[in-house]
Amino acid sequence: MARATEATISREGGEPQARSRAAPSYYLSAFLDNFIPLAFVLILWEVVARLEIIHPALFPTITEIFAKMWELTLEGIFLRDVLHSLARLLSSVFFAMIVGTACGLLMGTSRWAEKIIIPPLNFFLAIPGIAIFPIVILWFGLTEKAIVFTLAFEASLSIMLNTWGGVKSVDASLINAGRALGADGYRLFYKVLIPAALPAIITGYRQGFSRAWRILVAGEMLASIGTGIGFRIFEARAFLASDVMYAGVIVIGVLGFLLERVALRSLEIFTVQRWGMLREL
Amino acid sequence: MARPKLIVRDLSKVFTIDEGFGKFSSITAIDNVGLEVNEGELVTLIGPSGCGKSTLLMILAGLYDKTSGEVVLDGTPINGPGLDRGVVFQEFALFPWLTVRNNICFGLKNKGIPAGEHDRIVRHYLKMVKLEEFEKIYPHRLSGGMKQRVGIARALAYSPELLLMDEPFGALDAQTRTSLQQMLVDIWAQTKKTILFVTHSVREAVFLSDRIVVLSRRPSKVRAIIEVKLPRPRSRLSEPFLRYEEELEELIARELAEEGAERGAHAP
Repeated sequence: MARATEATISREGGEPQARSRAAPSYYLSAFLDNFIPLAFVLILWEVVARLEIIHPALFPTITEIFAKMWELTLEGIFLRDVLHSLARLLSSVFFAMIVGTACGLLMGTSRWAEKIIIPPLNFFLAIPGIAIFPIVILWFGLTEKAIVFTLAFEASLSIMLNTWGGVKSVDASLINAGRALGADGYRLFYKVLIPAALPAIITGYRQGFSRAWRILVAGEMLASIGTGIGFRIFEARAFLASDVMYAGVIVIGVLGFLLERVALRSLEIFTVQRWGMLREL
Repeated sequence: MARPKLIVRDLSKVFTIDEGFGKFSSITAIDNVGLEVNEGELVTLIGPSGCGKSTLLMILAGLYDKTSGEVVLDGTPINGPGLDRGVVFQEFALFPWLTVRNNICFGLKNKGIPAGEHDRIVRHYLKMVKLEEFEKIYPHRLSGGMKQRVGIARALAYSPELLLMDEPFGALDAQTRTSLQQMLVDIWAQTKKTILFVTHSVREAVFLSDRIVVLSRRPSKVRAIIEVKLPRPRSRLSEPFLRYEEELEELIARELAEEGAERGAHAP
């Protein structure tokens, strides 16, 4: 843990940093940091594809793929696919957050709940969500519900596990301080336990998100639901439309990346990182 | 003489230890400790490490349950945590998600002090620990010494009757330690609080205390109570100061020696 000297502190602390706005140059350099390495990959791809070492039907050039992407976007197909995929993802993760956080908190505070939930939780965690998908289809048919249920199931387990671990490992001295300062029961719970466990809870959300994202694509392929990025890729396979398939894969990558980096990372920056609860590297 | 502020009578604590795999054992940490602290007095508890002095303090704070005995503060028995006592922890235990100001307000809110008064109270106590300009800072940006000053302000802010300090300067470097000891004496003179202070440093005890309670090794018993009749401000280098230090060192060394002898006797 960094132990700043009093001198550096008083220099920094002289002007207590009120919520200062990030400079525009921050966003620019953050963008470049992420973009430049990716640009290299794209250029390399273009060169290899143009050399036609691999048959162009299997490995189209980046320019072709982007052209196709543009075309699909103009036709409105991509937008609809993306929105449908996102709707499935967000609704399922939303449910998973509620159920997972609630159960995790319960497990972390009640020995009784812990004893009952842990064995089945460990059992279900060992099952890849996609394995139960055929069963879920039997229940719900080839519907949105089937996909959302499977995703929510998968994500809630990760969230539960992380929340439970987070609450269990809250520093005893923080709980003692809370109690000594007159917080008990409900108040101790939401004023001390939850914020103290927040780093772990957010990690759970991130994990839940990424597990759900993975299954979403597979689920859309299996459910042949008619829309969604996963479905689009799977359908294109039947017509050997490799440019559509690659375009779909790229969109999945970009979306997943943005969700993780922009949505979840921001949540982290505004909470636990601001409080210094994450170790700086 | 007036009734003592704090009375501890026949206090015992037995811990049950879960050794895993279904095995349990028990350890007596505190054995029939009796203690009285007068209004406005600064008393330190000292003893060899692991002797249960922190456990005793945590029981007084109401954070641990006692096994038997009685603790009475201002005529009221203590059976749990309460805002009539302020606690300062060795590991600071500031809430990292709250600014310095909100850390201090935590107890104020729980005590039901109207929000309109929070500003004045926070400023008053931050001034007392010389951290006025750090109100809006999150604790992770403060050094160890500054964190503990916030810890002291936080414990004093809701005006508890008794301040309990559990080796509060134990995790700090020597210079910070010395300056915080002086700060504590000043705060004590200013607020006239009753303070019970746990330490393992003889020098710290002699510098701060009106009286020093020497505890034996585990299970804790009161081995001696020494009244420190030094005028304040105290110099750590004066002849009488050093004599007190020596006397205490000897007492504690004897405690440790007895333990060593016992261990030796049991050795094969």
